[in-house]
Amino acid sequence: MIPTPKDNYDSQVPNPNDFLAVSQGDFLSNFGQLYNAFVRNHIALDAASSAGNHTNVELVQLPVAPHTNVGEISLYSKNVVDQVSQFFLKFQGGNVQGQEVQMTNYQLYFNQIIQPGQFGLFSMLPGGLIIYFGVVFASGTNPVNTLVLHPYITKNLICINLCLSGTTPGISPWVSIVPEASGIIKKLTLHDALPGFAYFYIAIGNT
Amino acid sequence: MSFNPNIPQATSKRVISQRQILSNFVEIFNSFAKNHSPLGNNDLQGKHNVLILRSQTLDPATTATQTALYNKSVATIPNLFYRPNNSQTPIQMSYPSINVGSTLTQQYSFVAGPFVVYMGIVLNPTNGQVVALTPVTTLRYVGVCVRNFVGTVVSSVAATNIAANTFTINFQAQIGSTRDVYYIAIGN
Repeated sequence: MIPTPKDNYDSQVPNPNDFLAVSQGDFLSNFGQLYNAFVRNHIALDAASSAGNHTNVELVQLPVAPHTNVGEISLYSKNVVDQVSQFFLKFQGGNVQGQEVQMTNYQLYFNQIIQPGQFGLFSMLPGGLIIYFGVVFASGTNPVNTLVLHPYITKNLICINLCLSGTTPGISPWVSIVPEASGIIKKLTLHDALPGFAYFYIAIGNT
Repeated sequence: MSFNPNIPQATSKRVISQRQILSNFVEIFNSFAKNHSPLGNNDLQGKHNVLILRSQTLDPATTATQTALYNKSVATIPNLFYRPNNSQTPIQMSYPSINVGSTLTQQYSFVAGPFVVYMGIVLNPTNGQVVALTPVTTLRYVGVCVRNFVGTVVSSVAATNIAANTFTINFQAQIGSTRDVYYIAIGN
């Protein structure tokens, strides 16, 4: 009797008393399942070349960081509170290098006019850090000029640096944080900015 | 028992081959379950749940249409590397540690290269105060900015004497003024 092909890989075949006609169906089913699973993320087993190489890597979200042995590093995805699933790296275990590093953060958008007189971009640094950078134009007199940190996800401002842009030397402004009831840092006040001048800025916050 | 690619043998009896084949199917299942969603779940099987990379002694070769992610040790510590197509120069993507905890005075992360990116705040420093950053690298860039200035003269600050992992906070002379200093530095 020819067996009905199974829906899933069966690691418990062949049975000792099965005839080859039965086992042959089991073999076909298992090899087919193995082939179909392997072709996901990998170059197919029957490819003319490079069989076994990865084509891409889809990471199914893990609930906790994996164990990582000495000599190894792990790449994986894990959920981050208030964000979507993010990409993580974990160094080898057993010593100080066994550290978990959040490699991605939030979502990236580029070329944004943050407010009139401010052109801003942002990206990320490993460790759940967000890095804002761009140009802000000091249009008014002291201290009405503001710098907006958008998107509004920064809980702590780690640092900021401002540098005058242009052909004339001048003093860079100093800053103070505009308090927000939510605790999220959205805006900084620029003090002693020179009206009519533009400043490059770079700011790093954690989320 | 490990996977045996040399079975079944033409001369083996079926009762022998059955055990060998069964063993191989078990080994395939167990090996595939490492790093992957296991065989048996048609929706997920083949996808990865983690990518654990063993240390490579040599950079892998890449063709015109390939790139490679791999693990290679730097001073005995495994690090993540990326190799562009056509076996171009490998790029180290990680530094072995970060410090992004709750202490805001001195944190660091990294960018590919690898470069260490330091950032933090020095609370009310004195003029000429030296700041030493750890882990130790050679600083290539230091930027500073004043926060919460209290005084009568416009504040200005510069990072001077940048050497190895240290820099000096240099203010305009302002007697009686106070302020904090944000810094960002990059070293390798």
